[in-house]
Amino acid sequence: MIWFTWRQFRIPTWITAGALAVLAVLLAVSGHSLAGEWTASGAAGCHADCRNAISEFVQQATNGANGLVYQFTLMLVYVVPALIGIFWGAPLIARELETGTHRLAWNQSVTRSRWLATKLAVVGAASVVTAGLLSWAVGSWAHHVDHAKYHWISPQTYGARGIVPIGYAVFALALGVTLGMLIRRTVPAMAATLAIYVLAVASMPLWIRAHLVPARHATRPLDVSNVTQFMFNRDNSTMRVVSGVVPDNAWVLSNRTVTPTGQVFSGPADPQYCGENHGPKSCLHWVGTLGLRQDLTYQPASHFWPMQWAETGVFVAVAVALLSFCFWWTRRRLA
Amino acid sequence: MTDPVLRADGLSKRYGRRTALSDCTLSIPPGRVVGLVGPNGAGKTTLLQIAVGMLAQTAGTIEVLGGRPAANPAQLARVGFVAQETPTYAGLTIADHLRFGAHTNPRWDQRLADERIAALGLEPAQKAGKLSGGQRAQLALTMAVAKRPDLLVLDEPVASLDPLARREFLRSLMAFVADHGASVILSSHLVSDLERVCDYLIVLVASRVRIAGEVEHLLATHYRLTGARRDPADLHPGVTVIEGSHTDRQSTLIVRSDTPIDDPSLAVEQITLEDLVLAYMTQATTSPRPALESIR
Amino acid sequence: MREVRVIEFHLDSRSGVAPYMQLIQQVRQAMRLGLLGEGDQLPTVKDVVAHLAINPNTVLKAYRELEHEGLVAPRPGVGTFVTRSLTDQSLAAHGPLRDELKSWLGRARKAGLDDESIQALFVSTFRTSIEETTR
Repeated sequence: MIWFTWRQFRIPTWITAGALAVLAVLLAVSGHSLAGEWTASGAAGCHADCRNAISEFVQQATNGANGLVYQFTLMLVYVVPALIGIFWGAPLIARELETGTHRLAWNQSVTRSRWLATKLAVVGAASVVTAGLLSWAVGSWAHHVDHAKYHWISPQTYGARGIVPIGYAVFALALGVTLGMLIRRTVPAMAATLAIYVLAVASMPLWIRAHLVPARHATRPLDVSNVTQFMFNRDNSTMRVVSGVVPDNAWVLSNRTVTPTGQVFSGPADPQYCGENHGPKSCLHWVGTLGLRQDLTYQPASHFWPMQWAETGVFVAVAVALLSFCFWWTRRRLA
Repeated sequence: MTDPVLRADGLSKRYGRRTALSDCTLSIPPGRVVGLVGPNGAGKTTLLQIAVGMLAQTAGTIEVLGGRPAANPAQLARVGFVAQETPTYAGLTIADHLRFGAHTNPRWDQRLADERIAALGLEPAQKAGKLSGGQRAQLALTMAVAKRPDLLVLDEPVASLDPLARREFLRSLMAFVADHGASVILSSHLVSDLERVCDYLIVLVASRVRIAGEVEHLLATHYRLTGARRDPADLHPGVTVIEGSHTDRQSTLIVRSDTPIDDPSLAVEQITLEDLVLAYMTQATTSPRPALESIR
Repeated sequence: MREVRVIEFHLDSRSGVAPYMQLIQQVRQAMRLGLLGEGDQLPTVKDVVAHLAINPNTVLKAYRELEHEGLVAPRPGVGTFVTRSLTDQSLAAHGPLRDELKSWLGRARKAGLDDESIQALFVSTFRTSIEETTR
């Protein structure tokens, strides 16, 4: 059964291996020039104040050919799990149902459960290896850029780094297999797989990711000397103040300025200090006397791996649920 | 080995509100070539798919070779199945198919498979998708017989074949039966396809088994009676009328009777298997509540 | 053992005669015509089945019947062989009977019967005589 699954799956495997090899060459060539820039900018040997060196490196790395490679590979890590779901997952069962060959396969002396398990094991292993290798290769290439830009916190980068792409791939595969089994037509199953994959992966940073690991909470007196946003609406004299004091390399979920009683501070501004006749300085100084506090919720850099595991775990758990359903369906309902 | 190859009791299958098979009770003795005949949509495929474990029944019980269909690898190994339209993997070669069979079947007979492919003049390196309908059917049959099953189930194996391929297919099927003595159940909507090969017949119409029995026995107990017009009710009590047609003066009846009919007012003729099947099909479509009979 | 294919069976599905009976008739016919003689092997069950696409039990039944009639005998593991010859008695009788039938046909035509009526008369008389002998 393993041999047969491999025989059916041989061509996609070779195509994938070929594509990964081409990508490896591209990353090796481009990685060489990127390493050159890292050294040239002085960021490599920098120990003290590296802001200038790093910003020069980022400038170089995100422009031109390397910038294109960065954007392309970032996108690729999201696209490949979708492709796995569409081209490996959806047809895995749907094509057999469509052509009736499942009736040939099910009459060999192999139970349906083993038939499905073998198919899933072979294709699943290929999916994990493909997504893992891709994420590792792209992540290593982009290592300096990501660190320089504190990029792990940005939702679009986070999902393309670490082990999360493996979770996406496993989920996409299970999704494709399930939809193929239920829809019984390859092409509609492919379309449905794409739609649901996009929905699931997009909803992750929007609603779920921030809550996977309990966020850290900090509250401290507002430091008026480091304020990134200071807005004052003259018509209704409401105000908005956002402190610029945030931990390095953290993903800030909320940064509010609250009054001593705990309400979000929104004015009203005192016309004695704030207004047309007064400069921002006097107004800011007045704000400093109100005893406001900064209320910060954030995921620190140390949460990167716990969150990666948690997010991967969520997708793998959903995949396991889908596949359990597939086994049940294959045994009881499929014909 | 005298246990029935297939025993069904009150077997039914429903799809939502549609009934595909209702209250099917059968006991098929071993060593037979069984013809399952009925019009399209009568439930033949449903019955066969339940027998090989592709489908699960909604009510009743079925036992095939003493076991539950497709319950485990050992049961699967004992039953060969050629599905309708004889599916094969279009992208794989004949050799790939045989290797698949060899890898997954404990009783696989590679020599039998190779010999059959050679006898058919097929090239093992050929892709199954490039085969003609007849060749594909032969490949599917090869897969099924090389398992060396005790029971071979074929769902409309010749329906889509031209007459020559049909003949070839039945020839090689019968050659296998002669060599290995397996029981066979095959379905067709045309009794003429099966007339020569089957020695046991099941007529299935509108989801119900109308009659089942040894062909010889069926032919020996069914007659065509022709005579002056009369009410079928005043025939001998042991005579069951299956189908009757009447003119103003004459009655023509197809009847079943376990004893010879000795009535000088009637011309008594033997009927062919085709007439017999047609009579049961007509009965099923005209009488609202058919008498369910089974002869063993 | 000779590797000679002596006779080949054929079936007429429209004749109304049961297939096994057709096989028996063809063996007897071949024996009468001298095509099959003592010691000749009948086609194996598998050969017949593979040639005619018929149920093996049909062939087995025909061979059993022939065996019962004492015309053939099975040799286990080898096949079924003809044990008698039918040519002498029957072929010798053919000529005179044929002449009688010819003259009868002439008389029937003279009596004004057309071909169809002659056939019907022959068949119905043939059947009643069979029934009389079997009763």
